[in-house]
Amino acid sequence: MTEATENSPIVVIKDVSKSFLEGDNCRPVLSNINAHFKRGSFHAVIGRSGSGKSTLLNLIAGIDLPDSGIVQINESVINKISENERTLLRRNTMGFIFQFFNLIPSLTVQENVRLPLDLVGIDNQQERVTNILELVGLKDRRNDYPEVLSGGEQQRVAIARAVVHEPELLLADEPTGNLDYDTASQVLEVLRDAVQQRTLILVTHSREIASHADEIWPLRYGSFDYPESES
Amino acid sequence: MKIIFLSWFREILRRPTLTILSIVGVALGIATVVAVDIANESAKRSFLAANETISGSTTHRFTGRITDELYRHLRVDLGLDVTPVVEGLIESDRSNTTQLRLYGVDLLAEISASSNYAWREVSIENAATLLSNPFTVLVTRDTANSLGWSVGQEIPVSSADGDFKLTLIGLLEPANPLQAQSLRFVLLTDIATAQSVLGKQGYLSVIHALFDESVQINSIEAFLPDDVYIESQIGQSDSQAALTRAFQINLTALGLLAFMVAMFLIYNTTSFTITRRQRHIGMIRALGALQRDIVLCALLEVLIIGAIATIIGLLVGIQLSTFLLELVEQSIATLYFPILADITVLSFVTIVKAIMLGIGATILLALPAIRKISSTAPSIAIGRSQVETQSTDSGSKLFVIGCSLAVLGTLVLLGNQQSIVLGFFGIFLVVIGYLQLIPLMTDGLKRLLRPIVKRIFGVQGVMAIRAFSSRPGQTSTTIAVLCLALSATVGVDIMVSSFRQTVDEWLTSRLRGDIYITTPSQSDSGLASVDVELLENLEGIASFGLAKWAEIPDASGTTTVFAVDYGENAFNGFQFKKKADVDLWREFNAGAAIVSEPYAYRNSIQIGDTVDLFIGRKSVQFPIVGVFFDYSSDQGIVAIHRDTYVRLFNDHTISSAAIFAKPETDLQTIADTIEQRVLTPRARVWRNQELHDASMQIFDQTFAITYVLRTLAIIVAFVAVLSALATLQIERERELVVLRTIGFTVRQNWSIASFETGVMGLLAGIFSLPAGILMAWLLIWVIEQRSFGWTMKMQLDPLILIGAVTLSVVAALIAGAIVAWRKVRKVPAMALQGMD
Repeated sequence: MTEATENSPIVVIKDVSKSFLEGDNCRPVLSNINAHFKRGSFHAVIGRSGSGKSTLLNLIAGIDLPDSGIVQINESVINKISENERTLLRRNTMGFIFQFFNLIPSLTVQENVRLPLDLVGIDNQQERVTNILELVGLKDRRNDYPEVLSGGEQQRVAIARAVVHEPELLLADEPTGNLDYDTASQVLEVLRDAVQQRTLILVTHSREIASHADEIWPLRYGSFDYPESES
Repeated sequence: MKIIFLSWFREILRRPTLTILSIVGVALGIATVVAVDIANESAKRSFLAANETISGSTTHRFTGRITDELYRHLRVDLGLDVTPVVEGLIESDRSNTTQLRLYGVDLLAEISASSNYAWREVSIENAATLLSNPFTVLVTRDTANSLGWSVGQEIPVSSADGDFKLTLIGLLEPANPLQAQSLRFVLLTDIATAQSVLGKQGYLSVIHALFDESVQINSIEAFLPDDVYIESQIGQSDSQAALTRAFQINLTALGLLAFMVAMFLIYNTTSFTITRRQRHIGMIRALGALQRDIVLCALLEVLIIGAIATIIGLLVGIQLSTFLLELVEQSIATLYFPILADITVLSFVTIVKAIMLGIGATILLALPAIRKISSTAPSIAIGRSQVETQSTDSGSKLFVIGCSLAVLGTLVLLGNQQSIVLGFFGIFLVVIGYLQLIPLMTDGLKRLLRPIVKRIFGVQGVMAIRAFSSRPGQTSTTIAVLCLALSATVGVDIMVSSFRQTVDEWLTSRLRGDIYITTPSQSDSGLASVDVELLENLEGIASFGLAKWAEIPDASGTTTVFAVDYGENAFNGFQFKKKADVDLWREFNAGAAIVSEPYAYRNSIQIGDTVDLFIGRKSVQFPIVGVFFDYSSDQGIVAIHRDTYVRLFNDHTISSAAIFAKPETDLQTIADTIEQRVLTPRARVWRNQELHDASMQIFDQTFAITYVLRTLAIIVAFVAVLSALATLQIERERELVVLRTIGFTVRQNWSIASFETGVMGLLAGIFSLPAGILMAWLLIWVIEQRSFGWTMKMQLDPLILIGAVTLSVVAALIAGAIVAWRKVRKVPAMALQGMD
């Protein structure tokens, strides 16, 4: 195993296929896709509903496994490591932002944000939590439970939770898909501020949101057309 | 890790109803098992305590025709450590129906004897008064209070030998509660008074003896008269304990059924507890929580639920046991001996059992769900439908497992046809095997129901069926719990009703006489000869027959002999299971015996074998020409002609008489005449129907406890269904709210939710029928046969089957309605708030 260098891609997708059983039928979602996601860049995977965007993100996060091919994060081939190792890799290397926020309803805002720190075992949690909540503009709501927050606020908490432990890789699954235009813009702004120099892979169906990315990966019928550089 | 635990346990507080239901479900299961255990153990301990208190820790006893002279010889001449007893039942006006036991002892001998009798607690002052004043008695304070007696009071009593007045001169102070229970309704007196009251002058009922190893039993035996026997007291105790064994086995059987329901309930509850967290687990797993973290949290939750439920279950179980004990006492007293068993014995074993069940079994049964949910990939855990797709795939696997278990159970049942324990185990395997088939059967019936429901109820009906299918794994488990409880109900109901009908038919066939006169079984003298003469001269009587019940020694103890001469017509009332190809009546008259089914079963006796009974030291053999059905004794009886009995045993006493009236005679008039003129003390006159009804009443009392346990099983199942439906409905909350938003009324939503649970109830009811019939068949043919030796005709009462399905549907509808009502009433906007 070699050390990851600044120029080496953080995520390598090689000949990856994935299909799902729907009753008796097997529906292919991803077919033999290949991709190299550069370190420190903002990547947008764009495609219509059902094109396989979320599945790709799940494969990168290691919360699902490909039928064939390789998904590599830094030097770790996630489909060749154990479930436990995948979890540790996700915990230490990644932050995940979901379309439907997936905040833990039984935890307050600050407890939700503290959760990854607790999992990674980082000390000095309160300072980090306070800072990140300040960054996303929710410091005053730290003791509220998610159910009393608006959609935009919940997604900002999710962003805070995804970046609080300073992961190398951020994965965002339609982070603004559930929000109105103005709120989506605010959330995107917060996301950009929070990402800083980290790698962000964001999947979206919106070209406008994708236009903010360094690299765009159009996904159509389970395959990439070509990567586009937008900025 | 701290935050994960925090989030996990805050989740419990967010859904307190489900958590409470989980605890209640597990606690109820434990309570049932604990209550049955305590009732069983307490009954056993009470019996042993009663035995110990009355007879002391003796090694042997002398029975038969024991004279005062024999006792004097044993004690004075041979210097043996023996104590005499004269005992019998008496009645007092003040005690109403309670039978009192007059117990005459030689207090001087008791005080010097080495054995540990309760009587040694009698104060010197009381002992002196008792010895110096005839017709004086001592009772416990408890007995005196119960009967409203006070010291110094004269108590009128009647025995088989007439009416007497006894004076209460003091109160016994039992050393402990066990003794107090055993001495309830016992009147302690001296030997002479007991002999006078019971009409046993010059004779003793029994002599208790404490022999050490140096005593040569054979040499004592050689010295004894022919009609006195020496028995090992330990053996006697065992044989008495055997009387309660069969009863306890049946109680244990019902306890095991409750246990099975409890186990399924716990499985169901814990599975729900874990799987309802699927989404929560998916989220924290996606954030990086390890499988180990999830397993730890889940185990801790189950442990807490199990621990709380164990404490509640133990407390409720103890309370419940006092109620069960009353019923146990009723049954035992009716069937075997008049013990009062309200001693609650919470043994260490019961506590361990409760902990094992509450914590051990809860964790063990939760493991499959924990394993499944923790190993599910986070993406799948967040998306529920795929998890359930996997669980339906396991339906065919369960089918194979179920069939294998059923075959194994059948092999166990067929392999050993004597063992009761293996009988239970076999039934357990067969029933568990059957329950494994429920997922496939549910799926099949659901497919069948769908077009019918669509036609009748339209889209709403189809929605309910689909919603019901959205969680096939959990739905099947819920149906299985309800099915198991119902099948236990159906099984026990069919068994009891079959037994009842069999006994009813048996009584009808056996009781051929129009009127019966019976005497107390403890009476040695039986029916007075003047009363027999009365029958000979009474108008309206066509004929009458006489009978004697006797305990005759045999090689292994004693045999109950029914020496009867009720005539050929009454003899034809015996229903034979097996009989020799001969003229039975002629052979019976000539000295052959017929034996009851339990006797033949217990002694492995066939037609053509013989019954060996002792007359003194001499053995007499009776050829067996028939095995008849009999439900009066689970130990079995041997019937011989009374002439044969009188000839061989030279005993002319009579226990009962059967009277056959002339046609068109008013039976009531004859019965009244006999009742007025009969001179035998405490003789009872019964018309046929009265005796029949009294017997059936005893039957119903005996089985009262089975109905209670059955009801408990249903309550446990109801809680299981409530808990399961609560979880399912919570998961459907969003759907129901969406429906409200698009225009469904509260009533329509409620109907959908209730319809869904109603279908579950209907399926559980239908599935419970074959299981219940199977269980009844197994209980009748395996357990009843093995524990009592009785064969019963299985009777399928359609009302029981319809009742079970109705009960199931109603219980499920009520459970569904309770849960759904809370959900569907919410204002849609409020309900939608906070849903992620």
